[in-house]
Parts: sequence; structure tokens; C-alpha cells
Amino acid sequence: MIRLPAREHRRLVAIHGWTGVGLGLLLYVVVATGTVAVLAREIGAWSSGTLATRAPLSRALDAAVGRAIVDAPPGLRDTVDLSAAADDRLAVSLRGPAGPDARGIDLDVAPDGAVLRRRDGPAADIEDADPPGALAAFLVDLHVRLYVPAPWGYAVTGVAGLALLAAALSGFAIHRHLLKDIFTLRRGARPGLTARDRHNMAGAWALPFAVVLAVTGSVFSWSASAGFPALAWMSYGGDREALFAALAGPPPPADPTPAPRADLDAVMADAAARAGAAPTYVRLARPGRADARITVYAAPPAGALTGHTLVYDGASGTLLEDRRAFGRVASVGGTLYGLMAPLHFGDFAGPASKVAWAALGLCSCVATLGGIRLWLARRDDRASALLDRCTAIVGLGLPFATAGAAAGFFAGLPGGGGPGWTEAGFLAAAAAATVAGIALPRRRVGPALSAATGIGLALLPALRWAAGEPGWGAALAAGRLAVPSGDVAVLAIAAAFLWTAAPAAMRDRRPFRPGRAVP
Amino acid sequence: MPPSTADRRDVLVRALLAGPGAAVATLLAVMGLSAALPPGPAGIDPITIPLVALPFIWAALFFHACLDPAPRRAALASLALCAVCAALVALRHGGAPAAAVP
Repeated sequence: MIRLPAREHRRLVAIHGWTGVGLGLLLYVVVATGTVAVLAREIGAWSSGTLATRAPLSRALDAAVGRAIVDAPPGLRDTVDLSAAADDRLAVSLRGPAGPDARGIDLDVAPDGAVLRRRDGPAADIEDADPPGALAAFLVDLHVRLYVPAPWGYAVTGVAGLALLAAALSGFAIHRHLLKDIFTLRRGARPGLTARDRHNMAGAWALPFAVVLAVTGSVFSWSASAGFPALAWMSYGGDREALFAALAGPPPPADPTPAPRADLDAVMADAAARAGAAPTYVRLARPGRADARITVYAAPPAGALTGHTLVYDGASGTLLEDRRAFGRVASVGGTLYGLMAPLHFGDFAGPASKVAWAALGLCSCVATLGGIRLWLARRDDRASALLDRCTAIVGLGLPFATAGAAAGFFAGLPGGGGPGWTEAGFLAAAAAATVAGIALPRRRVGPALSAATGIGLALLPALRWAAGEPGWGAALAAGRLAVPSGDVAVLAIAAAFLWTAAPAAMRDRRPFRPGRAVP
Repeated sequence: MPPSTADRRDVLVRALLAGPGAAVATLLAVMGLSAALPPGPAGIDPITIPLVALPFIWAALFFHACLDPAPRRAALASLALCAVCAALVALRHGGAPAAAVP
């Protein structure tokens, strides 16, 4: 801790408390959804039940992409984006010139090259409509902007990021025995003391992580909502496309002369060898013209925080640039901004760092909810009782609604699925949790929502199987551990919720009185 | 003992400085930093460095507004920062466009 005069210490305690109480529930929602979103790729592999074993961008692409370009109208060949979609399919997005009226075609290409799904129309309507990947995409979108329309959603999560920064820094300054708190949990003590120990312990473990998460999250949220528009106005007369072109590197001088396309498979093989890691995203700009470019974004190689971005001549296949960060050449700003993503997503050391990030996210959730309850325990009025009920509804309603989103996703799969089913499942479960939270006596809200979440999660593997997804035998035979390990993880979390519900139901038989902490 | 009028005014000034004041000053500081920074070898430093600095600038302004024993001094410091950054922004928009990409 930092030794501070008594007056400054009191003010920091007030900042810590009011930040947590005023914005604590928002903070909890953003951190909890982020904890789940860290594992979005693993959740996508589990929920889509993919059995193919070769990543789509590592397969031969040239023939399928060539067919997609030839089949598209000339006005929709300005850019062709390639990425991995759920169920081991290749997502091909063809777009016309950028703008509010931009149109496009999205294709889902199977491993054998067959087009499984084709969507065409206004770009805004066809994006993010990938049925098998809907659950993972929903969880990420929920975290990034809480389903509030842009740019306001980014501003809301940006406020949560700054609140987390204020709470973490003030917590660091006011905790008197930070190192001791990491290992102190007096289980046999009176409930208030145990609750305080739990808050201090979770907060102390999560403190460095919370600062990193708050800084990187604020950078992303405020960049999208206010930073990019303000800086585009500063340097480019408000032209945001020009600003993004500066970050990504400006396009070459226009040359519409027809030219043969470079062999995409040869380019991809060269890119994978140079980057030392698998490509994650590919953009073909103006294919079939003399000024064509192929940009390959690769994952970070082992031991590195950022990956390569390789730019090739789209006609000759010659390598033009090998970038390691934002901008065409290395710079302080590009390197710093490039570090934000791996530090926020926790994917810099593979599954180990992602699991660590998820665990620390869980600690932040425990510290946030525990902090609110500690604050409430010292107060005795109607407003505190209302906030206590809201805390129970949001704290346990969010996991229940997330289980509802997964249930809606699986329920919709036999009919084609899509984002609508996932969103409907989430909203229905959130509404049910809210109604139950209002209708039930306060002491019953926590155990009821815990039990409902546990039961809902426990049913998910059966729902997944009933929706026609592969069982354990087929998954293990194909060497895909994502399916059985996902089921086991979901069942373990379900057991944890059921375990917390049972003793809480027995413990909470006395009526709630404002001014006494509800365990 | 109930808080005096001076104490209430003190809290109100701090709340305004730490809330909307810090938000406006942070935005101006980000824009001023963008105007002041050289482009760097990639030409993107005036875009990326201010964005990365944003949460640190906000935290410094927020905690200064809350902890400075004299709220008037914190207000003056914020105003001075805003004035310098506004001048940098005005100079940029009065001169040639910057952040040229090499």
C-alpha cells in the first residue's frame, strides 16, 4: 500500500466505494461477459461441434476463391476477405466500394470447396449472420458493447473501463496489507469478516490484471467511440477512412489495368513460413487488377506478443512489406497500440494465458460483487435494500441469461439457427431472472437463481446432442477434444452453481434486514 | 457534525472536476497530444500514442481532482491543460495538415 495522510486515505476509500457502488453492476456485467468472451474461440469450437481437423486458411484456397470472384458481379470485387468460420468452414466476404450503401456477398465454403450458404445484399444486413458461430459472436458482442448501438455501446463499456481503473488504483492505495490479503481467508470468522477477506483476497489477486484490463479496454472502447472521430478530425479533416488507411498503410496508386491473380496458395504458404504461425485473416484488394494487393494477417509466433502482417503484390505474388505492428514500419506508437490486443484478450501464450485471464476475470467479478455487498452491509435504508436486490438479480441473472443464450442457440440449430435464437434465449432468461428476482422474497433470490443457472447449464450438453451436434464418440474418433472438454467444463460449472445454491438455501432462512450483509 | 456550506461547495467542485471536467480535459489533451507529437517513422504516432495515453491522462486528472487539498488549484491545473491543448489544436487547424504518411 501507499502511506497516505488520513484525509487523502479517506477520500480514496470514498472513491473506491462510490465507484464500486455507482458503476459496480455495470462493471460486473462488462468483466463477467469479458471473462466468457476470452474463451469465445473455444466456446465456438464446442458449440459448433466441428469435427474437421484442418484450419480453413491452411487448406488450398485458390480455386474456391477464384470461383467466388468470377461468380460475383464486377461491382462487388473491390475487396475479398477470407477468414475461418465456425464448423471449419471458410468465410468469403466480397464487397463493393466502401460507403453507407455498400453491398456485398458472403459465402460459407465447406472443406471440399462446396458453397454451403450464400447471402447477398447491403453489407450491413449480411454481416455477423453466421449461424454456427452465433453463440460465440453473441458473447463477444455482449462484452464489447453490451448490445447497445454503436458508438454509445462503446462509450458505456469505456465508462466501465475507467471505473475499473479508478477502483483498482484506489484499491491499491488503500489496502494496508496487500500481500497478506492474497493469502488471508478466515472461514471460521463471523460472516462480515469472511466476506471482507474474500473481497480483499479476490481483489488483491486481480489487481494487476484489473489495471491491464481497464487500460486496454478503455483504449479500445474510447478509440471506437470518441478517439478515432476526434483524431480523424484533427489530422484528416474528419475522413476516418484516411485515418484507417494510415494505420494499415495507404493503398498503391490506382491502376485498373487487368492483370492475372497471383497464386493464393503459394502466397499463403510463403506467409505462413515467414510469419512462423498460421494466418488468421486475409484480404485481397482489387483482385484481377495491376494494383491488386494481398494482405495476410498471422497469429503471433511462439514467444511473441504480436504477429506479422505481410503485404504481397496481388498480381505477381511478390512480398512487398512485412510488418510487426501497426503502420508500415516499426514505431513507438504502432508497437504500443499493437500490444493492447494481446494484453486484453490474453491470447499471447495460448490456452494457458487464456485460462489465467478467465480466472483473474472471475476474481474481479467476485471482488466487484463482494465489494458492493460490503458497502451495503454498513447501510440500513430502503435504497440499500433495493440495490441489494438488484445486485442479486444482476449477479446471478447474468450467468442464467448466458445459459439461456446457449440454450436458445441449440434450440434454433435444427431449423437453421442464427443470431436471433441466441438473442431470444438470452432475453427470455434475463426477463425470467428479473421477474423471479422481484417476485421472490429476497432471501430466496440467490439460491433460486443459482439453482436455475446450474440446472440450465447441466441441460446444455443434452440440448447440444439433441440439436444434432456430434456426440463424444464421434468427436473423440475425429480427435476433436473441444466437444467433450466443453461438455465437461459446462457440467463442472453447473455443479458449482448447484453446490452454492444448496447451502445458501439452508443458510438464508432468516429474513433479510438492510444493514446486515447478505452472504 | 453536519457538513458546512464550504465543505459542500468543495465536494461539488471536486465532483464537477473529476467527472465532466476530467472527461473534457482528457479529450482536449488527446487532441493536443496528437497535434504536438511528430509523425514518427510510420506516420501514425499522433494517432496511436494519444489513444494509448487516454486512460492514463484521465486517471491523472481524476485523482488530482479528488485528492488535491485545494480544489481551486486542481481546477486551475485542468484549465491550464485545456488552454494549452486548445491552443495546439487551433494552431494545427490554422496550419498545414499533419500526420502525413511516409
